[in-house]
Amino acid sequence: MLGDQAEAEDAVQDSVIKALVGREKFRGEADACSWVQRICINTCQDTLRRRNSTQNRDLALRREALWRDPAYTVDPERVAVALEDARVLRRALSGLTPAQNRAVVLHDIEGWTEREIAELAGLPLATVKSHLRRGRQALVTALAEGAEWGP
Amino acid sequence: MGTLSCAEARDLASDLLDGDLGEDQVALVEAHVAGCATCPNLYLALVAIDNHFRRQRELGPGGSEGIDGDRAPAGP
Repeated sequence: MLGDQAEAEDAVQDSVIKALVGREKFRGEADACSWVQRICINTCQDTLRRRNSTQNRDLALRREALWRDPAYTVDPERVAVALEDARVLRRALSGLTPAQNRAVVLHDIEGWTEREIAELAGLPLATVKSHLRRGRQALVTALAEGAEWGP
Repeated sequence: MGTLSCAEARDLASDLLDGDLGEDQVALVEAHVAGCATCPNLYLALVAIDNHFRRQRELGPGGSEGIDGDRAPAGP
């Protein structure tokens, strides 16, 4: 989700601390593991929001404009090759907006349903579907460009 | 909706991959892609991403190596 080992380790550490400090808030409605996982996902989202938020928002707007342009296309072979490069893929994912990143990582990589993501994020299902759609499109563009726009 | 614009077809392509479209909408997307010069490659790229992640999920946690390298267990 973060595309950076050090930041990911910090996020896990912060999440464990948050879980320990806030353990009285855990009401036992879900299992403890899911509860900590939610804290961790939200911590990662906070990190993504802090990091390059303006840059990623501008990128998202530029990519959305490209996908609305009837003349825009990519080389799918190049995208397929880029997908096999873990470094390029991490960079491409970290260049998405936090909401797009959450949708693509949790749905496409981790196998969550759109409804589960909507519940986690407290968003309407249609909004999550939109994040997923735009996130996939942005990922195609980033990979076609060699993820050169990532942070 | 008689025919789709490129932007509409590209948006629906993502839903198509998730199996979220009805037969009529699938036919509309397919008709657009068949007659468009630019959308087929975008659709193929979306399919490539979908296939890649699907394979990784089928491989399980170790299958996330494509994203997490040699780091351990995949997580958000």
